[in-house]
Amino acid sequence: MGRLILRKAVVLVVSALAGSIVVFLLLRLLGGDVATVILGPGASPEARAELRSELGLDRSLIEQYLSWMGGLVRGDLGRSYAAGYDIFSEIVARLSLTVSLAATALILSWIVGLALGTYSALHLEEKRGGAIDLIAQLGISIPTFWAGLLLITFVSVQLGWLPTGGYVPWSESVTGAIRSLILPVLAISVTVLAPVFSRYVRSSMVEVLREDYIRTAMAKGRTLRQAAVTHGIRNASIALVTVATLQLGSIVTGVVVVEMVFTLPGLGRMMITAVTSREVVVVQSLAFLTILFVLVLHFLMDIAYGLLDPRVRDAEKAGSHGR
Amino acid sequence: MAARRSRSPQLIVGAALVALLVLAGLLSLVWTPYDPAALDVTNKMAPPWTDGHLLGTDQLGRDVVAQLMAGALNSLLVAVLSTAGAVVLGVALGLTAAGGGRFWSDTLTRATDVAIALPGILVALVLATFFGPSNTTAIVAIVVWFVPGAARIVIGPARQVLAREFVEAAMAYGRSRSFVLFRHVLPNLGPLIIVMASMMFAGAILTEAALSYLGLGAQRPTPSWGRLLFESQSVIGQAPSLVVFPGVCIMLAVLGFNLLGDGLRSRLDPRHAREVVV
Amino acid sequence: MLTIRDLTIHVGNNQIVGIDELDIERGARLGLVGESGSGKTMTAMSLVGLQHRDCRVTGSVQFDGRELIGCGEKDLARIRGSDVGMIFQDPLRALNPTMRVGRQIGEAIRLHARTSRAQLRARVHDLMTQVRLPDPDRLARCYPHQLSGGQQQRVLIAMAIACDPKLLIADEPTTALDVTVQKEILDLLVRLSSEKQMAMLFVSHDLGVVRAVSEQVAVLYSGRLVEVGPSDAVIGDPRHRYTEALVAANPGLISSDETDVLIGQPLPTITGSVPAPGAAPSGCAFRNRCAYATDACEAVPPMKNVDSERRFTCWNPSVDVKAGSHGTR
Repeated sequence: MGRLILRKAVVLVVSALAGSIVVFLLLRLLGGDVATVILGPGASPEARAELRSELGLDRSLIEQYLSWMGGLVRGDLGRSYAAGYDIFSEIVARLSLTVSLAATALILSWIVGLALGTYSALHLEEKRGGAIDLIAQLGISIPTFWAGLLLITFVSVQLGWLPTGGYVPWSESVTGAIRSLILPVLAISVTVLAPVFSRYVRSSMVEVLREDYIRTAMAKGRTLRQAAVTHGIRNASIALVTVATLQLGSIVTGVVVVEMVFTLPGLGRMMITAVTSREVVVVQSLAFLTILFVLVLHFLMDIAYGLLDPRVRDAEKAGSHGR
Repeated sequence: MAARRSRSPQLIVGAALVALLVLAGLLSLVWTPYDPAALDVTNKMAPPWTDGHLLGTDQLGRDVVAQLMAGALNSLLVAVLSTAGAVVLGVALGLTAAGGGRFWSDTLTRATDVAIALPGILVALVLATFFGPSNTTAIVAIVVWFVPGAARIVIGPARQVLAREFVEAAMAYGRSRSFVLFRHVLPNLGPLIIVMASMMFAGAILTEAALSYLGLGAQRPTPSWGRLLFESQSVIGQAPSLVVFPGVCIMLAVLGFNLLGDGLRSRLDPRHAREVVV
Repeated sequence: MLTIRDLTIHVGNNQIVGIDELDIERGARLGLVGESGSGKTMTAMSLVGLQHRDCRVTGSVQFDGRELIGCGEKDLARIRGSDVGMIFQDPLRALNPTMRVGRQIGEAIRLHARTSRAQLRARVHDLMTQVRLPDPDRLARCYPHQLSGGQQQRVLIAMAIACDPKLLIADEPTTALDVTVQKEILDLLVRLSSEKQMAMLFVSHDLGVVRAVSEQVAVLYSGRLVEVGPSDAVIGDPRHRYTEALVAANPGLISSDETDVLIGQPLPTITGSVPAPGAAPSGCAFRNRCAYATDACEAVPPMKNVDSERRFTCWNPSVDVKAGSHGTR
């Protein structure tokens, strides 16, 4: 297990570096002059030159890249041109909200997906199984932001049960934080993750239920349902890890959208604001952070894979002995 | 065989929803109940069935049905262009990866795997930073977003077809690699590509709606379902129906293409299309 | 103890298995023999409700006076693992790859008895010793793929005998194993069965293995019993033409003086294969592959009793091989 973690950590660092270079080059080469993008085409040449030297854009690309990376390590990413905030401390302040949003949605959907998928695999031929599939199909077809709007309209505005938006930090009030996260988490889970997960669990559980070890468990005295839970879920989860990895992109999208719908002061909202005011410098750091976030989740998924499947762990050992 | 060909309800419902969407969109070119941009100042936020406004009016007094029809056209336009782009580029990339030499094949396969893991919305955000929000930004973003997924779906089956005897025979016959790929492999992937395109269409409609909701897609005066929902958010307390209708349209359109794709899949049975990630 | 009467298994409209009568006495070992596709595994599984979901089972299976067919899922589950133990063909696939071996054995105990953690550990250790697994404490912490094929099958046996069952159903338990390991496993099964007075239903395609294990043998063809009797008698002196062909196709079974005759001649095989469900000919199902088939075989052959222990169903039975009127070669 230690070896697996170490090797995956190396992969993580290398791909993070590669990602940072791609983001940097993309933003520098794609859009032409950054100063023009920020100030607009009407700005005077003097103003542009001034901004360029202020942002260090007159230096060579390598120098610029290294100073950006150095700043990332030191915690100094410069200031926002339009809003004036310190980029690094702004990111740190918003991080906890975005991470708790993504993590809660992922965990909730994982549980719901396993439960619904297993249930419909057990009742595959019956109406009940088909009904769950239909619900999942419907969930996938609903745009996340619309689900958010509907939740606000009915749960918050009409019933007045939960806030329509905004965020109470964990440090201020735990119940407040939970109350402000319930609807956003629901919106992401119901429309993106849970339906996808439950459909995949269903198909992998159908496979697992055909496995000999399920029959063995029944031979020991389990009913099919018990065997599916005690022996099936962990094995079906292995397939789910792969699917979850493929869904990381849609988690990010879901978080960004939901932060806009519920006016949550997270990183997604910061990103959209920076994009609309064309703050290339902010977008650059946030884009890298997003990639880093996905890579870290990827890393965690790889570890989960090893934890769930002992064969993966042993293959790792055997592989490194061979070298 | 005759029994298996029985009509699947998925296919019928899916096709019906898609037909409805296309009809509404095309009809909006020649006729809408009101001009989508016309303001009925006396009837702002009118509830459904007011003064000939079938589904009421929005916060500026524009007719909801007219805007939804025009929005359908916009959704279709973006979805058709982006799906076409993604399918053409993705299939070309997938075929190249499957048919190329070992090095190319491995590199491209690995690269698509990495690209799939990256959040597609980043592309849209970066593009919007430089070029500003527009339909074009949305289309390009969706294409870039979907291409790796399309390539990845095609690679496996393309490799399988390449390994079959008739392909080897064609190669032995002296046909060039690219000729074999396009004349022999591509037609065999037809069903897979059709199913994939249907699923991607659904994904494109969803994505376009999300991007225009975020303000990264179509701008006024072009009506778009996502934009309508964004505008309705400010009057969420006064006119909840404005929040409901555009969403229902998006949901039905996406459901239509998803069901159509599912139905086609069980009819044509290319298993790998299940891996479509949108 | 186990009494099977008029057991039929249908998939859709096709009857796959139809067994009129078959019994297993307390502590006895019965071998169920047939080619692949003969329905032997399906029969064994259906006894305790482990048949595939699409199968419809009718008839009567009485175990210790209790009727098992039509009995609820929970009641069947209670009988499985406690009164009836089972082992399967492919031990690696039959074990959960993500659960430690010790826990999988412990599960078989926990499901039927309340035990403390320490008792459970001791009992698992004891079971692993009984099936001759080396270093039980270490192996208990292993995952299935870390064990050899023979060890995996021993683990399955330990699970099957965890609650001292009265009947052990063994479905081709040695087919996936090396020949040397096969012998050890067979010896272990015979020893456990004798020591514990545990009856055994031994399902196999291999007559030699069946003879080594069980006193009684039942030959199944296309879902029907064609010959039942003491192993030595049935294999040494087959009556049904199918049994005869099976014996002939298996050179290891024939006594040494006859093997001499066989040297230099091609090994006889049975042409064709077991008919697909629904495709069996009317009357005797074997008649399209049988060298001795006559018009009489178009009618269903009745069960004939040789003596109180032996019966077969064939219109043109082979007479005593040793008497010499045997006409295959």
